Amino acid sequence: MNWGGEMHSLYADYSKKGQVKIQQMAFVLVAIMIFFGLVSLFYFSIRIANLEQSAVSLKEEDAKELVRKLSSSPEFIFSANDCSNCIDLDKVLILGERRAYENFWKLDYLEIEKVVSKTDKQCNRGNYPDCKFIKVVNETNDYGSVVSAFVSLCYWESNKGGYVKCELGRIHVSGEGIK
Amino acid sequence: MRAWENTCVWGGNKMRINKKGQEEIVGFVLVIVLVAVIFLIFVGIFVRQDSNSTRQESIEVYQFLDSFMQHTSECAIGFEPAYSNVGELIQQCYSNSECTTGKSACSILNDTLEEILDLSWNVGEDRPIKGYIFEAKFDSNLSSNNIIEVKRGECGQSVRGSEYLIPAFPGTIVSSFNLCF
Repeated sequence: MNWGGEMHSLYADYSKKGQVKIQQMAFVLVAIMIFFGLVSLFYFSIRIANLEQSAVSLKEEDAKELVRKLSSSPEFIFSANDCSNCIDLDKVLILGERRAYENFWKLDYLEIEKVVSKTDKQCNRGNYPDCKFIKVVNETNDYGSVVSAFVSLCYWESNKGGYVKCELGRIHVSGEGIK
Repeated sequence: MRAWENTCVWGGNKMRINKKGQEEIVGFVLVIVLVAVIFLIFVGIFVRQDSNSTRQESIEVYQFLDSFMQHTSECAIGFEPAYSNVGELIQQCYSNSECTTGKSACSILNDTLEEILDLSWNVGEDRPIKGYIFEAKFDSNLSSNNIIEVKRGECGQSVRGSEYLIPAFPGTIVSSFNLCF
């Protein structure tokens, strides 16, 4: 009788151990799921942050391309040589003087600037071409963020018999269409 | 006799329970190793993607190179005012030409590069751009020769840049400019 009673007790003990094991396995599975959930959350948060960053930089680069396209418009392009990003500085000087062109591009601000210049003065007929910048459009003082792009500024240099001189410059633009 | 049998049964159960415990530890270790391996694979993929994106193509840098190559230098080859632009000057430097002023094309090229790069890009430890590298080299099927290199600041992991190609038979002059962040 005594022996039989011990057997029943062992059987019950094993059954309880099985339940504990199933519980353990369930806990491990839940822990693994939580772990992978956290890892994927971490991974996707970084990926999304990178995606947002690349979207911003793509937008910026698009704006720069758009700004640079201005340099190939007939009002700006230097047609004496085969150069799509060359701006005719002589034309720009004249455009800057004409108020009729202020609303032509529907921009708030448009400036052409030389990178290398001995002075910081705005260009006019008196100091041209030894000057720093030409403001073509300056509609408002609150023009927001300005998008800039590198261009070549070409003009006729009359020294030493005359030749076409090109200098590195920047075009700065601000407006509703450029963002 | 019964007492001895009981001891044996209990001893056998003890051994079985110990063995089960060992099996569980092995299982647990296997699960940990599996999770660690999967985690490492994740990290590996992530790091590889990051290292691939360390050098990004930049439209701004390409625009800079494209415009810079048109910049008229102070070096005229043969007669004045046949001043070379920077693109031509790199070719003249590769062929060791001399300007009408008596200076070598490479010397003028170096001066022009340093002046323009300094004025175009604000570089410094406390600025977003930590440094830059400009390189021009002649590439052909047979060889690759460095023409000029201008460096400034420190270059880390993140680099944005672009290349500009100038045909120069029998090869190509590859000018690359990289900004370091």
